[in-house]
Amino acid sequence: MLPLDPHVWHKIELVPAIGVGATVAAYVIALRLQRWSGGSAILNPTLVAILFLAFAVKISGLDYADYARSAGVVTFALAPAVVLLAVPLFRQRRLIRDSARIIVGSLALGLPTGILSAIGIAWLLHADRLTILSLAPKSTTAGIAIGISEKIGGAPSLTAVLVIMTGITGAVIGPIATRQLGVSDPRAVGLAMGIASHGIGTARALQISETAGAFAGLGMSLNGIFTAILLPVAANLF
Amino acid sequence: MLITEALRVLACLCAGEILSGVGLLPFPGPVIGLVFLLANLALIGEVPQPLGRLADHVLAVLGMLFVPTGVGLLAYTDLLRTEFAPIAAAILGGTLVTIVVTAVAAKRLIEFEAQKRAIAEGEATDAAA
Repeated sequence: MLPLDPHVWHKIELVPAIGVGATVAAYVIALRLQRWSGGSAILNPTLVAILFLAFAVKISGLDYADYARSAGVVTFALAPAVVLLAVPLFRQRRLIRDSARIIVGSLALGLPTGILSAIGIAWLLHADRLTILSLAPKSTTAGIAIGISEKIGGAPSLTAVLVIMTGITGAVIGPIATRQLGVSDPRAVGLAMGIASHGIGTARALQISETAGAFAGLGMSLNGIFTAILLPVAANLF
Repeated sequence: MLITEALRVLACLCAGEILSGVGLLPFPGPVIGLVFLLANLALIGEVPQPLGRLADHVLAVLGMLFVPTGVGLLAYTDLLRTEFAPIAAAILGGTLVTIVVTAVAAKRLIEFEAQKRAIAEGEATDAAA
């Protein structure tokens, strides 16, 4: 006989296999959907998977906390994955050395602009303190942004979604804006897209050219590291 | 060996989480771990092959790893509704401004470097002549 007792079900939902399985399944479907759409930036697989699962959790009447616990291994894996970002960064050491001045200069302007423009606009429009703190790390890669958000008192879940929205925005408007500005050097385009819109911008820059992609990746990693160092210190001062 | 490289990564992560957790450093633990791994690689001078493979495999699905955290947006649907305007403006405006400022800065820096190189080369040819 099939046990339809809700208590039995509740126990099964909490088993890691269910949460992890559902997460991977949602992501694979979302990846397929993006490939099927011809690589549309708006059908970002992470965002689509989040919306799928949020919908599933909501209609199934589950608690988010139960799903989060059940999928805990996936969330844990984000921490060593952030550490592993050192590998692609180290592989590009020659590029960093050769273009040090360009990279450092772009970062010195782009990093504070990314933070201040977002929190400035939100503050002017009377956004909540939680919204502003969650927005502050929006230009860094999600794994790093979530950690920063935790450290400065933002809402990590909100930050994760805002980061993806930022990435999609940058991937869509980056090539258009740089063309309008007459910026055609792939190094400049890449740095702008990586520093403003992290991994999603980097993926789009890679479609422009390999050089644009490499500089976007560098911009993303360095922006992530230095924002993680600067933002908690700055937040402590206020 | 793959497991040794996994241990290298976990050791960096643990060190980072401890330094961050006890409040010795205000930065997120994984980012401290990233810097440790970077320092470690600088000492070795190259990326050990299994570590390179590990990084490629894990980073290929990086986008999946923050899906569960993102689902937590369920708790913020009210906030997203009431603060939709400032959030949308901050993301759209902020990202556009950042791209413009960074792209123009990078372009200027590239032109400046090219000019300097041209001058240096000019001097070199002058000296040769």
